[in-house]
Amino acid sequence: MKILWSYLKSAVYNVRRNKAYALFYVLGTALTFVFITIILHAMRLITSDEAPMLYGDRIITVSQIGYPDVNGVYYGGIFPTEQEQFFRALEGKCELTAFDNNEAVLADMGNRMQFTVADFVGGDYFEMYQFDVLEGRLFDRASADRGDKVAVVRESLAKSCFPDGEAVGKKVTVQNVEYEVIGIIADYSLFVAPTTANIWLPYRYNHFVPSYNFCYNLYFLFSESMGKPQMKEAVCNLIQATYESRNQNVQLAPDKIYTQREGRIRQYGTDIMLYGAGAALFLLLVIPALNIVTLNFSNAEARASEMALSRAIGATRRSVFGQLMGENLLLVLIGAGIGIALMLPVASGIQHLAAGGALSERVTLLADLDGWVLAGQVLPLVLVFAFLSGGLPAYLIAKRNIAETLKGGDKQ
Amino acid sequence: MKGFLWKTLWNRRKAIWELLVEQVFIGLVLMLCLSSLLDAVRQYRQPGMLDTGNTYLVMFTANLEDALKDHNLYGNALIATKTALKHLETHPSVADYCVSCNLTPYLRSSDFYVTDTVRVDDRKIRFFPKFVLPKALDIFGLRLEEGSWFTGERYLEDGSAPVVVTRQLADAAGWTDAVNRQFVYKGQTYTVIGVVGGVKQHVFEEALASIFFLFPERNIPNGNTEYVVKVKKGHDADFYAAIHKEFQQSSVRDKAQLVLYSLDEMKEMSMFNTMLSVVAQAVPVLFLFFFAFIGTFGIFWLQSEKRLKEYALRLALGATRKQLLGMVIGESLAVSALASLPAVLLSFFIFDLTWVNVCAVVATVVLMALFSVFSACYPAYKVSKVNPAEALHYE
Repeated sequence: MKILWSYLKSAVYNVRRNKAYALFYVLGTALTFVFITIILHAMRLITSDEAPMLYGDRIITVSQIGYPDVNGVYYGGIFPTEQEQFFRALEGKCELTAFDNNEAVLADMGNRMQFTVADFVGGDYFEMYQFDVLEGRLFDRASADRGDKVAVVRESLAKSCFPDGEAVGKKVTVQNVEYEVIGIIADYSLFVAPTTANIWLPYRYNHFVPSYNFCYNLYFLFSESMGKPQMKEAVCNLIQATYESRNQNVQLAPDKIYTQREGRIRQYGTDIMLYGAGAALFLLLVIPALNIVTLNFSNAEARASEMALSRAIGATRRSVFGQLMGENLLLVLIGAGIGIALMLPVASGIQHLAAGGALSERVTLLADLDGWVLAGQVLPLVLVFAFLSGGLPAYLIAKRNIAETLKGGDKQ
Repeated sequence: MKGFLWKTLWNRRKAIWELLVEQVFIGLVLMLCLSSLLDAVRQYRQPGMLDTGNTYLVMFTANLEDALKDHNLYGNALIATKTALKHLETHPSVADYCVSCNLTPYLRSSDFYVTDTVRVDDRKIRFFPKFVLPKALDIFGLRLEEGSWFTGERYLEDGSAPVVVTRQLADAAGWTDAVNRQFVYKGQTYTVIGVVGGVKQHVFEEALASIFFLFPERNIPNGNTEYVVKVKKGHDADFYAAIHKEFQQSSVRDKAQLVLYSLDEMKEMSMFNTMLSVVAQAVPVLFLFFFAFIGTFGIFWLQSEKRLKEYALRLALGATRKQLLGMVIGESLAVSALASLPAVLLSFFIFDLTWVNVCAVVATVVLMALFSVFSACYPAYKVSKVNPAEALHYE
């Protein structure tokens, strides 16, 4: 512990003495870890189940668009008249079922008219998706079936329409129906978004306008005991049976049915993209590390005599290495900390660049920091980066011959 | 000089290997990023982008459950929309409006726009029929390449009906000069009076073969009728309030909904995935480029400080300051040229021979060259200003 404390004191002293070097090191590391953190967060969101899609690996969607026949003609999804039977057929196998339909609407938010997407939902929608409720509450199946005129609003919409922060209890009018806002949901990342809607309403008031698609997306959360192939087969057989009862010949195989996690990976994370992300991480580590290695060599050269003197009066190679690495680690940790702190603002900037003005209010690329990603992925990379950028110079200086270094070095 | 340059680099290989490796990676990612970016730019700049700035799609749309009970409701809702917009024609927020069918872009996937086929000179061509009024030319900023636009006359002197085609249809029909060409479609003879550059249904998709017909006075065509309003800049809020008021006063207010789409926003949605991909590549590449620049600058500065005596000696032996400048920049250029080689070689294997990919490779080489010149600029300037007497004073 004493040794570590002495390394730290020495590191702080040397950093203060060589501010330009430290500043470059810290800034370079900060920029590196902004992008590394963004990439790691995005990859985690795409490939695993995060709120609100905590059960993405067990939820299968039956799309409202429907499925094509042998000639590529779409006959529409499961009709509302078939829906009840469809849900009943999978009753024993599913823990929860839900349905929804998104419509682009012009909502009267009280003080302004707002374009948005409304999601008309029913069933166990808010149990199936684990939204983070900031304020108030959500409505349930019974409330949707009763036709309660209640609305749940997303955080970004609430902030822009109700800047006083008092959205719960306010009235909003969507398609001639006045609703009371009962809850606010925290923003969530686009990569785990079950919907891009900003406002959730009970399905009872859905007029299917303007889409005129009168089928809902159906969601089935299968129980944990069911394997994926069984889930897919059950849904596939049911879809085919439903279309057959309409005398429509849909060619569908179980391997064309995807869980929501698989759908997400297909949409955002094809193999190429995941390999590309790996290559990007590699480059983001190696290139700045190469730059910093060069800088470190120069800095270490300048302190070679000091290190040689330390060794001459009793310091071991290990302690010299430790001292130099301690400085590197301190600078890398400071830089990485700044980078992590900047992750959300930079992600927001990328979101604005990609989505444009109006759309960026509905899209959130990354909503918050994930502790698991930071501790389990970013921190090890911080250590790797510290060793990549500072290990070799520290090792070479520690290894040097004391007498030659103190004499003035080997001119060759 | 060139031989001397390569020899110097070889002698200094231990000092510059990291620079070389770094620039090799930079060259590769820069080339991939530029290829992606230029491809997106090529797709964006393809002819057919409609002017959708400050433009709204307005519809009073019948509720589905009511329309199923009353088959006239859909038509009544359209009439109510037309009436409302007629009232708003002189409203301070409205610049102009028009009706069309299947024209407005970004509303749905291309698969869901109405298509048909027509036989032209023994070729069967699949096309997108679009029904418009003459005002659509200005509202959507359609670019006429040949001939003229509709004047409102439904028939020409010879009894045929006028149509305007897109360049893509003219090419598909094999017409080099499309104006005055005729074809028969659904029993009616049509004469081409003009050719427009194209109509894109999505920002990064190609314009497809389309034919513009005059919007009929009766018998709404097969497809989606669209009322499009051009709103004056900065008057959006006034327009929302005005159209909302008109809707509340309409006869269909209890059985229909006011639908208002901002085509600007629809366009942004259409662009989102591609833009995200491009930005996600470009931002880290810019960062790496900047980092490499700092690194290269630092190394050359350090090297120039270390070799100050060498440069001073050269000056003393007759080298000019310009030659010294050229030496330092030349070394930097040589390193970047070497570093660009793997990227250029790889491009032969991974890219097709298209002008976009060729431009990407050329741009990569040029950017790497500029990068090397700028990063060595200041160190070269410092070297050129060395005073031999001072530098060699202690020798």
